[in-house]
Amino acid sequence: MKKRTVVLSVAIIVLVIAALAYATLVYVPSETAPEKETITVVDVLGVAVEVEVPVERIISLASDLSEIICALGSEDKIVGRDATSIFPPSILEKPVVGESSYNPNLEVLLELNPDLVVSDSMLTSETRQMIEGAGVPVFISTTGELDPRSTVTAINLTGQLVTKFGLILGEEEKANEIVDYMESYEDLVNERIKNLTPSEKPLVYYEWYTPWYSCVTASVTHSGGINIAANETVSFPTLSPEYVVEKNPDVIIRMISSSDHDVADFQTMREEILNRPGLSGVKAVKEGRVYIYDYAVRTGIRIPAGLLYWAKWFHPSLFEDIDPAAIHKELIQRFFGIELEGVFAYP
Amino acid sequence: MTTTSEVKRLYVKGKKRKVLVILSALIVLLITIVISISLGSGSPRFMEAARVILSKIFPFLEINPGDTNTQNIILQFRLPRIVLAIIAGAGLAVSGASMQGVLRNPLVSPFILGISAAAGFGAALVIVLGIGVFGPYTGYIKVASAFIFSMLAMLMVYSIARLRGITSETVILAGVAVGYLFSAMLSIIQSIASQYAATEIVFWLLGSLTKVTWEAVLIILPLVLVAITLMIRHSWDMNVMGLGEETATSLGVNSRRVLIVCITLGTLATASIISFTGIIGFIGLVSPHIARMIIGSDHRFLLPFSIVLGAILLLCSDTLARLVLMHSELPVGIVTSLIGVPFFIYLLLSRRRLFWH
Repeated sequence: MKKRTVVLSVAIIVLVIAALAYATLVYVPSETAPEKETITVVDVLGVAVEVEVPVERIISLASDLSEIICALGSEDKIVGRDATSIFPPSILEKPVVGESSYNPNLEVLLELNPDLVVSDSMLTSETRQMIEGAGVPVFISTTGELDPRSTVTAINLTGQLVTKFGLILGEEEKANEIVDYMESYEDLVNERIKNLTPSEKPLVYYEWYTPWYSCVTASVTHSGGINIAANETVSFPTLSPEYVVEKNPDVIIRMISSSDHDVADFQTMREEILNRPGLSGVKAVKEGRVYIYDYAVRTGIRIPAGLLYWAKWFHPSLFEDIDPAAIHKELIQRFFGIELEGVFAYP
Repeated sequence: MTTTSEVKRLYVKGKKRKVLVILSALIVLLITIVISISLGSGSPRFMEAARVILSKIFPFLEINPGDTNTQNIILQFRLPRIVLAIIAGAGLAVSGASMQGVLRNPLVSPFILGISAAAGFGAALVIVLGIGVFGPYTGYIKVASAFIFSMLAMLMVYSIARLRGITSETVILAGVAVGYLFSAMLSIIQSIASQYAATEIVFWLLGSLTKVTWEAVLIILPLVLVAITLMIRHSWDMNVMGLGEETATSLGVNSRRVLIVCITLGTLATASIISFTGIIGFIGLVSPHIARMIIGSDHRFLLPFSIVLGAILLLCSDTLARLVLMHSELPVGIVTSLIGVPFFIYLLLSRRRLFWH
């Protein structure tokens, strides 16, 4: 009995000391490096982040941001990543500091001695404070749908972000090249859809990653379609099935979310929609205009590919000469210097 | 002074009143069905719905059922949902009522054996592994997995409870423990899941009838019917068990057997329902209480009345869930609590007598 109490007390004391030691390590600011130029960049949450440039050691907690850093030729500056950052493949050699930005392992993260941590908005404000408390600036951004009601185009949003990363990494020239490249395709799409009347634009049911789950996203509009969920009060609504049928959409697009998939999974998903009870009378199903895409083509610098896929699905005759898959390949070849493999859209 | 015949007269009068209450509830259910089939974000109203349904039942009448989309809205969306809401509401309520009866505990719900967390774990496992692993049958596997893990939880509870003898206390405590175990495992999955999978798990846990099909109805219906029939057959035993285990034994009721039968049936019915719909919890806990407040604790009336009340409550909730956001839907579990709780509190405050035995 007595012995047990002693052991227990010792265990508790050791635990408390360990916790305190950890907290001290995390909270004590590290020594600041000597003279460097400091710039201020505003992140997606509106926080002005002071960064000493050029950054040499960067940790990325979001796959799209990792891709942008690599496209800017700065892969060697990445010293840590989250498990979702898997492209380009060479990035897999970098140490992982967490499954996602939601709950990174701060000990591992700080031990890598980063100058800057970049993350998507899943990083909690508490985690952000702890990292900043250790003297490491945190820059939060996203190329996905942070605010699906925003009318700023995805390419515009990503372009601004690439420019900021150009400044942070001292790669302004490369950043401009990427922005120009992306905008050229946005201009191309705008040019071709600008004279369409509303009646010439297809009604689109955009299904996210589970049946009837949709989004008010303006991305559909940017590719020349009309989103049947555009006027919903909820940004990510579970649409009423009978509303979808009543609207009778011309095109159905559906995202595939699992990261590990082959063409058979795209086919499975498409078959499910084509055979879903109740959809048999819907135009998109009757005419076979049901398309599946990988979320990757709607994030980061690959957005031109997503934009073109959608535009071609909405207006096949206007974009007959465009091969989105080829442009996706070209984009990857040009900015990552590697050959793209895998399926990203079907059919 | 009341004579024996006076008591008898009062009893018969009370019995008639109870039958009347149940019949009125059935009429309310019918009205709710008619309202529910007539409303939705699609344009079909009562007349269109009636035409579609009548044309299917009486093809020889040659009624024009309208275009494919109208037919689909009624036959593939509204009707299966209404039928499932009724079956699920009834099944959850009867399970709750009889479990509360045999365990003699007002806090008992059909999830007492930890099956909500277990079903959630089973579904989450499949959601996380996803289409990449399970291919075209992911949807069915998710349902099967939720069901299998519910059964596993039930077996675990029985095995643990048996070690100390199956009584109300051992079953309830073992159920709580197993429930915590599975919710811990569910949390592990949620914390390592991708953003998309995590959201999908949350949706599943909130419960919804949006995705139900006739297949689900066909699988759940027989299980719920069997459970209802067998439980009602035991309603007299439940009354006796309410007097305490010793009295029950002396009156020739095998308490242990009734307890095991009712809990197994209730868990089976509930597991089959929530495997398809996700966790719809409140109905099973509260319908029996509402029923008890209105009709009393005689299980011969309490069980049928709970069944009808559960069906009404879930059907009303689901109809509202379909309507309040115009073109979008709310998870039905939220609506169930939002309309059930005020009603429950009202009854609790407005009735003077003590409801629990």
